[in-house]
Amino acid sequence: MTPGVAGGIGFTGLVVAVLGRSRPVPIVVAGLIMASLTTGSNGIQLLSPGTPASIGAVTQGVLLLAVAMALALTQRNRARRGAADD
Amino acid sequence: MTEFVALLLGSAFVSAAPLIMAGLGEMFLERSGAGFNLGIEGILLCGALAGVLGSAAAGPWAGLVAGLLAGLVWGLLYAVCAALGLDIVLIGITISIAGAGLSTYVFQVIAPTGRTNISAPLLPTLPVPGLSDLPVLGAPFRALGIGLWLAIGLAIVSAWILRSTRFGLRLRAADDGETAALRGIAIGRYRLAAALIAGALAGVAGAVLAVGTIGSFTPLMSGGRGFLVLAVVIIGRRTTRGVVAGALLFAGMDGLALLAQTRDRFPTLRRSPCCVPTRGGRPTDRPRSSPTPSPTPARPPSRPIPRYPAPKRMRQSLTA
Repeated sequence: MTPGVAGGIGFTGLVVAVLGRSRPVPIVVAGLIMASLTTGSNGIQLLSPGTPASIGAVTQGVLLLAVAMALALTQRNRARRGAADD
Repeated sequence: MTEFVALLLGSAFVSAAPLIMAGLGEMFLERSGAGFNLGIEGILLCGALAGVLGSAAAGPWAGLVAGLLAGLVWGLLYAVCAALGLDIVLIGITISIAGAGLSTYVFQVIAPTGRTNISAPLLPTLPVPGLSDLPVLGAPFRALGIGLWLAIGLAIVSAWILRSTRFGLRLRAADDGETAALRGIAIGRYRLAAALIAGALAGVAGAVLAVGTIGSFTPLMSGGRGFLVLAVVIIGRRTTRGVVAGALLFAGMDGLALLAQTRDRFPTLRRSPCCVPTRGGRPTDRPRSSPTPSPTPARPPSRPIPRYPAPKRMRQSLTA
């Protein structure tokens, strides 16, 4: 047991819940994706020492931004469709 | 005791400056009704890295400007995403993760592990005119970091801007979206300005954090201060005075925590007579400390303790 044993996992869990859009099966998929980004970036650092492992965090951020945009777009479309139905 | 207070004040002043600056920016953002930026942590880190790089390249003032520019970029990202209707919490978490990751990445590309860390020249310090001549308590005032001076100046200026300029009035009015729009105020423009101010101030705060006292960058060096800033703005009730007071409060606790690590116990407290247990303590204390506990017989259970599921009698009384 070390003080930083969680390593920000709780925070990432929040992101996983958002990526999985609060549904059980997609959350499992999102968790796998986020975890593979973390461990994969460690592997990148092992294979090519010039690339730091924190590229994984940057990728996670970009992924989250893309998902946020997609969510906003679908919501806007839904609202527009709802307005068209009325 | 005076030495303790002097040490406490010194460390509190050092950690107060970034909190005040980032808090003022966040206050502008929240007063304009553009939500709240959860990503201050990431902006602080990027500002700190930019500050160290700028300071190493062209002096500490260039470091501050570099931090400001780095913060502006994130502020712009926040403003654009918020205007597009993205979820504010998601933007904040994105900035927080991406900012921390990006600063670590760039730092490790520039200064890989095993090479000497970048060391940057520090910001100058200025003495406080009247207070630095005090006998013992003057010590922390003798070399007050330029960051704190800047933070105090910014606090005064932002109080003035919010209270008595046209820009400040309209910015506050933008908080009340529909009414302001009916009055012909371009809400989007004021929220964009507020987000830019918030980003820039957070970036400068990061630069002050790195160039003010340490002069080097370490990955994740902000250590949760970005989230502390949100708490500062909340307990300061989104006012300038409140933000400054809240930042000083948290900075004081920071200083106390640092000082507590330097001493393992409180010898003055232990020796003082008020804390020595008196001989005739409270009567309830006595049987516990006496070697042979008084033979008070355990009270026999008068009736069985009900277990769950409750006995049939109870269930009947419940259903009846």
